[in-house]
Amino acid sequence: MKLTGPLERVLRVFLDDPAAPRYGYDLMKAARLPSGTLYPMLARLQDEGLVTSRWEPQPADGTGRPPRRYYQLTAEGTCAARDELARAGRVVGAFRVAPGTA
Amino acid sequence: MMAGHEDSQAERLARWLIRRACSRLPGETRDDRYREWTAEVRAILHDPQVPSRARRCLRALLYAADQNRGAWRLGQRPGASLRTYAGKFWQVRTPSGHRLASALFMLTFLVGEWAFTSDRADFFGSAAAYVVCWFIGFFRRQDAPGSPFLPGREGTAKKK
Repeated sequence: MKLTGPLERVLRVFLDDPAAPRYGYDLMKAARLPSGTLYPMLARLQDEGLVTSRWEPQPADGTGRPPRRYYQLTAEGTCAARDELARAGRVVGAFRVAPGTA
Repeated sequence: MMAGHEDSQAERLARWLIRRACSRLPGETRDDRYREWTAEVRAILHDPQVPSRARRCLRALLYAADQNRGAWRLGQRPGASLRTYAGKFWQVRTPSGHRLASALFMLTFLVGEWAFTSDRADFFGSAAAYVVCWFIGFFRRQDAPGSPFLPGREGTAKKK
C-alpha cells in the first residue's frame, strides 16, 4: 500500500471507529475528498482485501431512499492502516526533529 | 413544490452524468456502481447538514460530474482495462449504420490516397493513421462492452 495524502485521510477516518461502516458520501465529507478520488481508492483497498463492502438492507424509514453501499476496514486492513500511519508519523517526526538537531 | 422540482431536476441531471460515467466501466461492475452512486446522489440532495438547497444541488452535481474521473480511474485498475476492451472488441454493440458509414468513409479516403499517391510508403503511413483514428473514434463513441444496456435505462423502461 503506497500511502498518499488522500489515502492517509481516508484511513484516518476509518480508524476513528474501525467497527463503524461508512458510506461513500460520509467518507467524502469526513476526508474532504472528491468522489473521483475516493471511489477508485476504495476499490483499490477492496482489491487488496483491506476494505470490505456490503449493501445496506432496504431502508424502512419511509423516504423511499435507495440502499447505500457501506465500506468497512477488515481486520487486516485495520492493522495495515495503523502500521502505515504509524510509519508515516515516524517519518514526519524524523524530518521535524532533524532541523533542530542539526 | 418548487424545491422538489429543482431537486428532481438536479437528481435527473446527476443520474445522467453518472450513467455516462458508468458507461465507461466494465459490465460486471457497471450496475453496482450506478446503484451505489445514484443512491449517494439522493443522500446528498437530502443531506440535513447542508441547509442551503442550492448547495445541496451543486454538491450532488459536482459529485456526479467527478464520477467521470472516478470511472476512468476505476477503468485503469489492473485487469479492468483489459476486461473492458481487449478481447471484447467484436462484442461492442455498434449501430450497423454507423459502422457501415464510418467504414465507407475510411475506404473512400484510402482508395483516393492509393489512386493519387505515388509513394506507397506514404500511403501505408496514411492508411495506418486512418485505421488508428477509426479505432479511437470507435471506442470513444461506444460504451464499454460487456453489458447490453446502459445502467439505469432498464429501470426507466420498467417504470414506463
